[in-house]
Amino acid sequence: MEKKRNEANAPDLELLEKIAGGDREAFKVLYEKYVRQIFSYVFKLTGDSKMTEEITNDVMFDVWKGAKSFQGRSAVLTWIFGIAHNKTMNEFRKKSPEPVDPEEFSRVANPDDSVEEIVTKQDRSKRMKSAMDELTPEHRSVLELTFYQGISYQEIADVMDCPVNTVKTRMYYAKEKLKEALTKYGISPEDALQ
Amino acid sequence: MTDTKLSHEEVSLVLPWYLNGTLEGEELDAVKSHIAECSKCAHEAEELTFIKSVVAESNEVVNESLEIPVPEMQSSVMDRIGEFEDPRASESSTAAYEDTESLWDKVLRFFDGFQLVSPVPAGVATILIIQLMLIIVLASKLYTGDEEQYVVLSGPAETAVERGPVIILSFVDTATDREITETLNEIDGRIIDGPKPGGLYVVELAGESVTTEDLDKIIAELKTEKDIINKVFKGRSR
Repeated sequence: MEKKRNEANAPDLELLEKIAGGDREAFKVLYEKYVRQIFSYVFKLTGDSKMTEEITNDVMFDVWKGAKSFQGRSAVLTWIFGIAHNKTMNEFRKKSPEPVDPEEFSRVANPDDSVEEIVTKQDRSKRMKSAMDELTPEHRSVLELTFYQGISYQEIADVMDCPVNTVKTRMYYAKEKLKEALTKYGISPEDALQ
Repeated sequence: MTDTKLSHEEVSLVLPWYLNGTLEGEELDAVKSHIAECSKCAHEAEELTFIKSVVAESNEVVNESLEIPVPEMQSSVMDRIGEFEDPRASESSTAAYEDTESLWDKVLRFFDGFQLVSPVPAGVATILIIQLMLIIVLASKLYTGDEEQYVVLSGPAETAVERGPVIILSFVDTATDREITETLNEIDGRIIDGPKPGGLYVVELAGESVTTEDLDKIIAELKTEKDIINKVFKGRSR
């Protein structure tokens, strides 16, 4: 597995070395390779396309500036995800000056909507998306990085700049919160597994 | 096969990464041998498979509606890189802008359009001069008038009490929470206000005994932390 990851990372390292030497063509190649992935990740956390555009370009600009100082302690993509995660969380911090406990903070859908109303309003996939939207950015992030980006818990700890155990407990709470939200939107694991 | 044994709780916590195929080595072997015998884990694995499908489906919804203007974004970031690497290019473009007609030139050109004998600009000029004189007369009267004219209805304004000296700083975007917290701990400071425009934070240093020399030293040290601190300067003491 690790060998596979190293093989996948080698072309990125080569590009990054060229970028560190000021090669703009190499930067364009790396940009086109990852911009969609980063954009999509940030958008799922912010839900705001304008803000996502700005953050994504800031991230890529930091990749250009930071290429020389990249120490190779993680894969290049993990490093880029780490910058994206930090920038996005900084934006959230700017918006809410009061300290927020991510485990406690959760956005609540309109409590006036009955389950029946919600169910009839949206189709299954959209309801799943709505359930995901009810999670905190930290919880969405750990689910996204694990199940969509397919990266290891050590790498997620690098991206989120937190201990490995925090990643594991965050995943546990994310799973529980998502199950609650799915029930609210009329989707239960049992139904889906049948 | 390995001898490493994991408890059910330990396996349960790493199951998501067993399912995404990123576990390896002894941990992978231990998880495999545990779930082969644990019905609870088998059920949890089913639940996680469902969660995985939820993440995938909700991603499809997002991706379907997502329009990423890659060429425009790329062009914008390449411009930024150009300015960053060659600031002279942006300076010359500023100079080109400054070479264009100034506001004063425009005003002069506007009045060039009028004949001196024309009654319209003469009338306008007269009214403006009269208004200006009235303002000067009224202002001088106010300043030399009786002091009773200025009655402060409220008491003295109360300001927040600060125990120590204050510095203003901003962090680089790539600074992590941990780095920020450690840096603040090192200087025994705490954020009391911010972020303000430009991402500036007001940081109070604990203790009244911090001298001006200490403060200069702290600021000098912070300036060396270029990976964490973007700008730092003394706050206005109250």
